[in-house]
Amino acid sequence: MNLKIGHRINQWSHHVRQEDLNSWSKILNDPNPIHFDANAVKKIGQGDKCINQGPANIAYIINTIFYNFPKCKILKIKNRLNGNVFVNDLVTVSGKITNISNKNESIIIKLLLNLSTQDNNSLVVSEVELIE
Amino acid sequence: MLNKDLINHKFPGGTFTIDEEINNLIKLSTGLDINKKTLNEDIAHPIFSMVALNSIGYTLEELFNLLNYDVRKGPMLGECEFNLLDNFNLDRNYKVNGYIESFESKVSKKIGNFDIMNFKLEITFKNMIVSKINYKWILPI
Repeated sequence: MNLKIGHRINQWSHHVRQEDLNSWSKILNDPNPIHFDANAVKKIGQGDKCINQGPANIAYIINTIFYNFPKCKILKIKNRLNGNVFVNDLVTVSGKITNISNKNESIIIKLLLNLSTQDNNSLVVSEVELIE
Repeated sequence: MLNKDLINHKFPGGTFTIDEEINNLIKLSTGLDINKKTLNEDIAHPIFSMVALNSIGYTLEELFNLLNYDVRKGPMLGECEFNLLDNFNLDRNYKVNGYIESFESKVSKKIGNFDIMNFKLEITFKNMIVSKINYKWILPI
């Protein structure tokens, strides 16, 4: 990994399947039907596909961090959620290094990450701070 | 009308334990290979900072009822910030506490008038803080 401010990190992608949404309903103990019943989504006027759980979207951000920095320790993540990810979407997380500093014998890296799908950009924007 | 008297209201709190099965379910459902060895197999996915939301002592539905807020208006998670002070480990019992910090009233072109509920959670293991989380929920009026 080229540690320079402005360096773009390697993109990470995931194809969201209905079975993933079913798993997250179990993980979060979340009975909200918008995650497994497309009719429930239609009723609230949010389209006609099941909506992915917000924490799953943040987990993709975390996976991208470890994909690029497998040995890092995440210190802080600030996530702004701007829209929904739907079943069958192809999620891609991209981003860049925004700051690098040294603390004791560690390198502190700040990232700006952006989660997009084939239809929408910046569905989640995350500011990350990690120790490499 | 949203019950804004709940500023500083403490949640009942709760606990959760991360077992290998639930950790693997998170990995599998987010595209990770559970057979790929990691540096420390006992460390769990950091997303448990957010999964802890189901251990605050209320379900989200109960929380919105307490707020006198009709969930059919479509509450949305607007922002989530977490500070990780330690790793989450498998087979440990974590304690979750939290409270409602504040409400803000705002207007947007997209959704009109809405309130923002800010609340904070703290996850601890043996009285040591593992993660501090700030949530902003958007509550359309």
